[in-house]
Amino acid sequence: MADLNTLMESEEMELFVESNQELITETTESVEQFKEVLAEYVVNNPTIFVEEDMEDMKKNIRLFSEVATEQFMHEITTVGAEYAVVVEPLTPENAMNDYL
Amino acid sequence: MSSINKILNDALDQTLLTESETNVSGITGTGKTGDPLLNIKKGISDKEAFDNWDRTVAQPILNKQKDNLDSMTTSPLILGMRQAGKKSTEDAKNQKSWLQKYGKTAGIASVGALGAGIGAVLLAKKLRAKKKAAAKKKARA
Repeated sequence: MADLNTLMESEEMELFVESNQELITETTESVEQFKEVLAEYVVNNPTIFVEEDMEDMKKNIRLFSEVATEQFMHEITTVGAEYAVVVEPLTPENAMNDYL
Repeated sequence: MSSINKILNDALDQTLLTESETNVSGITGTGKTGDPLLNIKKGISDKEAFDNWDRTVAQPILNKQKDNLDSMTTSPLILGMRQAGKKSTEDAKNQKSWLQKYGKTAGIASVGALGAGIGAVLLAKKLRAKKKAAAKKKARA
């Protein structure tokens, strides 16, 4: 966790987030809006989720939401990664190049 | 017999033309004409008929078609595409191609994700049924 915090606070990460701000925002919006797709699908296709036991029905909906969201995030980030701006890691050599 | 048909056709044409003229003067009052097809039938050239077509007469129909198209594009399965379209109209020429590709893929990703979810639910149902059957069998034995 400490390593992750260090990585998130690093200058490279800041630069990466700055360069890909639009891409990150778009992806976040897409994932955020995906819950509407899920809700609409469940409402329009109740037969898939119906069970005799109410608890089982809840489990079905939960499982469906979790798997679908995970898959959606995976696919959307894979596509987004292709369009991400790659930031060159800052090494002592290339950092100095700016001044030489 | 043919002369009767001719008379009937002429009378019908005359009725349609009179009706069209009445409607146009009643609705628009702009000096332009209403139905271009009737004007072409009158002998006016296609270009002139469409140039002088007062579109306010047809506007309600065009609006309805636009509403239909809008409602078609609000489908959640093509949510990504809709988003992309909305953003691309704003600005950023260089982002257009990315948004187009991204939008299309977001729509496909939604469908793929729903498919994965359904598959998981069906598998869970199958396993649950198996578990129940095994419990029943155990209870009998």
